[in-house]
Amino acid sequence: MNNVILLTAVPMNTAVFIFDIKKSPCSDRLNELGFTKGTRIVPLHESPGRSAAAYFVKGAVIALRNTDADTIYVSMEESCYD
Amino acid sequence: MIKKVLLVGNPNTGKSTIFNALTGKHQHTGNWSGKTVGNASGIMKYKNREFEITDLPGIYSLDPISEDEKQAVDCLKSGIAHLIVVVLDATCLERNLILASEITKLCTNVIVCVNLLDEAEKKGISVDIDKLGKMLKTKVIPTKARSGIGIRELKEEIYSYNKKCGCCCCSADCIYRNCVYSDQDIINNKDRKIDRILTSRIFGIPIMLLLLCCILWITIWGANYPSGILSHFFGRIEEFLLIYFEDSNILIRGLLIEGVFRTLSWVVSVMLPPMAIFFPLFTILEDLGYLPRIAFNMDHIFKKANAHSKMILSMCMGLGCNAAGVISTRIIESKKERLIAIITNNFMPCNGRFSSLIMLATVFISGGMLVSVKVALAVTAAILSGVLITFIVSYILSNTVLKGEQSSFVLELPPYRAPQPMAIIRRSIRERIVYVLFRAVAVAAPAGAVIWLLQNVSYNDITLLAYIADFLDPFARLMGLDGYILTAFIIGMPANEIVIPIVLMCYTRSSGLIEFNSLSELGELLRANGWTYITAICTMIFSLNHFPCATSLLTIKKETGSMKWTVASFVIPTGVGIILCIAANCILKLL
Ligand SMILES: Nc1nc2c(ncn2[C@@H]2O[C@H](COP(=O)(O)OP(=O)(O)OP(=O)(O)O)[C@@H](O)[C@H]2O)c(=O)[nH]1
Ligand SMILES: [Mg+2]
Repeated sequence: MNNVILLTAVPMNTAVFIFDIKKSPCSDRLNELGFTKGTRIVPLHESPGRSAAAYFVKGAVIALRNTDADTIYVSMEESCYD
Repeated sequence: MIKKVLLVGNPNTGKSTIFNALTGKHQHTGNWSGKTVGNASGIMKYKNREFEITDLPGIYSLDPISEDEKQAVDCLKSGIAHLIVVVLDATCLERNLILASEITKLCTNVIVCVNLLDEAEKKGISVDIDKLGKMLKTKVIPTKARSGIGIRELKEEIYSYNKKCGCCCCSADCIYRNCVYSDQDIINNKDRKIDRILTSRIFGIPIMLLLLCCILWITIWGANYPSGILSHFFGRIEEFLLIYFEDSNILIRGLLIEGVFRTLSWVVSVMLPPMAIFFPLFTILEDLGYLPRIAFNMDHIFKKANAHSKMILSMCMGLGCNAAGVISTRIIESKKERLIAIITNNFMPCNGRFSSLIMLATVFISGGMLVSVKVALAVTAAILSGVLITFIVSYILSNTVLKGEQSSFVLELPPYRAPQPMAIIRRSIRERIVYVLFRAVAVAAPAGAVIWLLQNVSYNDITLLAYIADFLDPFARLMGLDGYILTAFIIGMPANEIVIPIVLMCYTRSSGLIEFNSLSELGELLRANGWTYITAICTMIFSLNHFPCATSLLTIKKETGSMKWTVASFVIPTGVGIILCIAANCILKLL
């Protein structure tokens, strides 16, 4: 469980891997957009009000509000998932 | 029997573009996810056979979340289709293949179309089409739909499709790793560089405002000349008609020429030019992919109102037409947030009201060289005040009657795409000019007849129009308007673009020919009828904040399925408008 942090804590342009996603009203949406365990994700830039950021996920760029991004836990290393 | 073919796929993969190429129809396309929110069908003719093609809203999976996705999935699962064409975005196959493999596992009658290959090539992504076909166990057609490449092959495949292939048993991830080779730089590519400017902390919002102002300025500056020319043109025709019908019946002369024809010519000469110029400019932004960036830039503001930032997309659509704006709220997942978006959509001035705002501002702003810049600033301020009111009303609604869970914001930022000027011009002519001319005949002409009758049928020597206007006058005065203006707003309910023409009709009753060289000459006419800058400002405020037009109301009724919310959508903007008008009138009079 070492090195697991919230997605919003990741510095821009750093690739990380999704470790877990908390259940929330938008978790179904996140899941179908490709936010699944083990997926590589790269934060790209923040919105002007710093309330959201754009992420590279599975070939697409997705904007996420920070309150939604905070349901996603990531780890720096790619590891084994079931 | 005619065979049914469905086009499905992730949003923004080019389904509507392919649909148009197959059927020759003009389904709207736009560079953002959620452009299409309802099913559309058309007939494709190929080698003496006909196929019914249906374009569906984009979906990410077979478990729909929002209203538009429900429609698409319902249609897909209803089993009516003989053939399903899954459209994939070649630049984003890693995700697109999830849906494709899900569908190929569920249905046997599938062919896959890998679109946007031109963009993939540019980004350094190559796709092994043969291998993809083998792994998905379906026929795979490569296309570049925008330039028409691969469309013939797709038609041929739809035509000759008969056999069912085996079932795909690989995971999306496995297919992706085997068939797609990518060496794209995700951090420093062109899109990210543009994004770093257009959504930057410092420049993001100023650039947005500047763009809005520029578009308005071009619209205002550009509309002035065609307006003058059209007005002369109609003036000549009216002159000719009046001479030609000199001895004929008063009904022909009055009702048809002074009523119907004159209202028509007002609508076409004053309202049409700004609509015809603004629309293509806005479409350029839409095709570039800028609209989702506006939502991204304004997220922190809308977060404070506890509103969904996708609401901004429906507000942008509302700038073109509020009925379209209301329909586009289907992409908002939560019911409550969608209701807020529907109720507040009317605070965005649609094309018709927008032209009224421009006209009113032009008439009352004088100032030599920079006049069109000042008018552009005034109209920008009007639109921003619309955004502010939307924000306040959303805040109030989301904290009272429509209280709900914490709102979210998940939105795809599409790649920037170069707009196609010719396609935009064709679309603008079809959708603005032809549409407005059609509405002019369908709505403005009858309204002109009604106004003429009200002006000429009298009871006790007072015309009916005067009765109505006198009745409304005290209240209208309190709001800084006059009885005629308020009457025009009420008679203009079928279509917003006829409100100002009706006001002009009321004032030019017996004055014979009305022609003007530029919009500012209209100011003389209005001033002669007692208008001051306060009247103009109050009319602008009421134009921005009043009941939705009849089409929008019907759309709201249909989309919400509730009389209560339709009434709310009528009452809330009207109430806000009345309060603001009275406040503005009192304050400005005191100054
Ligand atoms: N460069 C390029 N652009 C394309 C191609 N096909 C479509 N586009 C553009 O991609 C954008 C999206 O196309 P649409 O047809 O509206 O996509 P859609 O799948 O119907 O999208 P939704 O209705 O939102 O689900 C438009 O701006 C098109 O002009 C293509 O082959 N090449
Ligand atoms: Mg579409």
